[in-house]
Amino acid sequence: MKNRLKVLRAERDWSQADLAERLKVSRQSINAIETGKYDPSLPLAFRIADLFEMAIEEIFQRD
Amino acid sequence: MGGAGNSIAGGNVSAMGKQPGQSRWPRMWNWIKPDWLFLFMLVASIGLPVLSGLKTDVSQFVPPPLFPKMALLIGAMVALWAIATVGAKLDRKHLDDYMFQMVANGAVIAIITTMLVNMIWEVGSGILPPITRDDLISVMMGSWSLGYFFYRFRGLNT
Repeated sequence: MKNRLKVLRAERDWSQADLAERLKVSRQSINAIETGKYDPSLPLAFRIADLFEMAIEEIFQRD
Repeated sequence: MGGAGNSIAGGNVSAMGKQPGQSRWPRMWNWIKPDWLFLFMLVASIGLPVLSGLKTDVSQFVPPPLFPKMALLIGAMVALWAIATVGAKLDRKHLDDYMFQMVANGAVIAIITTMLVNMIWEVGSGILPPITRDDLISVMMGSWSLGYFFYRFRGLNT
């Protein structure tokens, strides 16, 4: 699964730690999602979508 | 598209710090650092068979009566299963999902590896040197750590 997390985060000038803190997850989780090592759970995907005020499918796309 | 208007997105990260409602559980886990924990387990898994080999005397082993042994084993299994289930549920609820998945996937690898090692030693009991309980525990700890580090470096999507 592809995602635009890195781009969206960069647009807001947030570090991985900033985003991790906002989502209440570890920085490693954010790094793993951005590098495609981990697909977030549905509740976390919803939290990410809420944070960026976007639909899940606008952030995450199938390969 | 920006975070304006969103109370979470608009929040000041530097001021966020420790949330009042933040559970002690994730903070404790952050402090323990799973990487260090599993590195310690990996080292311990190598040391345990060495210590075990120094004290094991198989010739003095006397098999216990079957019924009390089975009753004890089943009772302990059910009691500890209940504790482990509650513990895993708490972990899942409070821990970071990414960390939990790595720990859980590593545990699956550890269970399969331990069962295979036990099976191989059962089949080759005439050829292979005897294996002790401590050896099996070290196999489980070692394979759990290796499984964790595999997913840590290669990712959960491999």
